[in-house]
Amino acid sequence: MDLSQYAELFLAESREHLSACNQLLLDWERNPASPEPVGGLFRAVHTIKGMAATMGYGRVADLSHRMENLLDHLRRSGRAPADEIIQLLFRATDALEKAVGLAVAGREREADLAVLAEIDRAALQAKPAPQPSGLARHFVEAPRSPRRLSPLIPTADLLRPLRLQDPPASCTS
Amino acid sequence: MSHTVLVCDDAIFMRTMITDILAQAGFEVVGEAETGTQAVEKYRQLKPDLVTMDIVMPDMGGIDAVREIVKQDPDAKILMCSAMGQQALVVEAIQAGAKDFVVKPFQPSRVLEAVQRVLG
Repeated sequence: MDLSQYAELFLAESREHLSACNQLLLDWERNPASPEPVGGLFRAVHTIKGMAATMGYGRVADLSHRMENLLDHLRRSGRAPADEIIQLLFRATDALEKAVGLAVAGREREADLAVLAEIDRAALQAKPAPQPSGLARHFVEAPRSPRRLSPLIPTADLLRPLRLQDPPASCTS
Repeated sequence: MSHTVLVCDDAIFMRTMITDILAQAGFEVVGEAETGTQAVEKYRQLKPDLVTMDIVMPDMGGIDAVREIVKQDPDAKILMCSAMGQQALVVEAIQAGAKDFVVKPFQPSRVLEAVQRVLG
C-alpha cells in the first residue's frame, strides 16, 4: 500500500488536532479545575498517535504515545494540574507539531525529542496510586513492631469461610 | 452482491484509509461516522453487513456505541479498530458484543482477514 498518498491528509488532520490541543491547554490554564480539557487533549493526541503509527512515523508516534500516557494519568487522577504540567504540555505540543512537519517532509530524524524525559518524569509523578486488588482488601497490615517486619494478616471476612469448613483430617487427630 | 460496511472513526485519515482498503477488496462502504452517536444512528438507517469501530471517539466512545448497536440488533457484526496498548478496552468491547478486532497501525491484509472472519 502506497502510504505517501495519505501524507497530506495526515498533515492537515494532525495540524487541526494540534491547534485544538493549544486551545484546550489555554482553556485548562485558565480553569485548571475543569475536567473537560484533559479528555479532549487525550483524544487529540491519541488520534495523532494512531495516524502517525499507520504512516510509519515512529518518532511522532512515540512522542504522542508518551504524551497520551501522561494525559491518561492526569485524567484518572482527577486533580487540577500544576502550572508546570500545563507549560510542559505546551512545549510537548510544540515539539509534536515540529515532529509532524519534519516527518511529512521525510526528515523525521531531525525531530527534537528532548521533552520526552520531562514527560516521562511527570507521568511517573502523576500516576495514580494502584487500587487494591480483590485479594488485598481481605488483608490488613499488622501493627508495626520494632523487632519484626509487620506481616499481612487475614481479616475476619476471609477467615469466615474457612471456619465454616471441617478442619483437615490431619488436624483432628 | 458486495457486502456493505459502515466505517466509524473520528479521524478522516483513518476513515479514508479503511474505506480504500475495503473498497479495493470489493466491499461497499455505505456510510461513515465520526462519533459513537453517529455510528448508532447510521447503523439504524443503513443496516450494514459490517461495522468497523474505533474505540476512542468524542461524544460517545466506540464501546458504548457497540452496546447500543447490539441492543438494536443482536446479530450486528462489529470489528473493533484499536490502538496499541488498549487490550483491556478490546476485551470490554468483545464483552459488549464486538466480534473481532484489529490493532493500528493497520496492515491491509490483516484488516481484510479480520473482516472475513467477522462476516463468517
